[in-house]
Amino acid sequence: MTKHVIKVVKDFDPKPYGRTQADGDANGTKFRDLLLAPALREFDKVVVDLTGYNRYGRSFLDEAFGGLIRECDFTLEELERKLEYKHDLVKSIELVIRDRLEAAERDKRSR
Amino acid sequence: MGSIEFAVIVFGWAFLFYLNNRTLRRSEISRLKDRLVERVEAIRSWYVDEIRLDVDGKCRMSLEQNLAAQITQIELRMKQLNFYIGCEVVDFEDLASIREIDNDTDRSTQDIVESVHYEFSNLIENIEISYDSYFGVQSFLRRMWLSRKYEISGGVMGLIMLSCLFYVFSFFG
Repeated sequence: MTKHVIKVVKDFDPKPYGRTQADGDANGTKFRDLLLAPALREFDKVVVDLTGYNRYGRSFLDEAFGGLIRECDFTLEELERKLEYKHDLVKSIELVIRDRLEAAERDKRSR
Repeated sequence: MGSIEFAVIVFGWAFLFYLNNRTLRRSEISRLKDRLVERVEAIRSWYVDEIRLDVDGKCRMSLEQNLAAQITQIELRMKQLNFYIGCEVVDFEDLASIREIDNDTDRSTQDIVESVHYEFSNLIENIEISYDSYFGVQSFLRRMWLSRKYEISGGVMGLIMLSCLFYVFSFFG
């Protein structure tokens, strides 16, 4: 089983921010399309380590993680198997990601 | 001094120490809880003011970022409170709900303000309920176990080990 770890502040940007390119260079869409979605397609297990930055906004998290279901055709069941995310200090960020994934799945089903 | 008098004095001092420690601990937890609630209320007022000032919705993304930073500070204080009490009396789920307040520009200011009041009130309410249930509803023994479980476990294990040693020595002796 292949495993890949993405450290957001090291591999992407020290201050991720916003949803799309209009919000800045370190946006959620860019993170998802350049790092997260390709890694999920290539590896069996992907761990996203968000530790090191404590100000992740809802927009960034929703676009980066929820967007996997809305835009990249992943399913919640698939992501539950392949994707792991953690923030060593701020646990509520992990809860937001879980909620964003579930909300994206609900949206997709209702469409 | 006889052994009974000595035991009474030791017990009396131990009881006074316990009462003093309990009062100090209770007032410290109460102070931490009050400061936490004050901080949460201050963040709510600040956020509502900023959202109302941002008429054209151009600063919502940076507001979201600032809110996330403030919520992280609240989370760290909640962790300190939980650590001080010795168990998780305050749940982080409510913080996630605040982080999730959707302030995308297509939502009206009034709509966002209502969400802010709702989620922040939930958080304050739950902090107060947790505090009340910790001090009010739970029995003394349960509270003692929650706050001193490691010390109690250590004490019990120590006694068990001493009993085993005593048993072994008495068996061979």
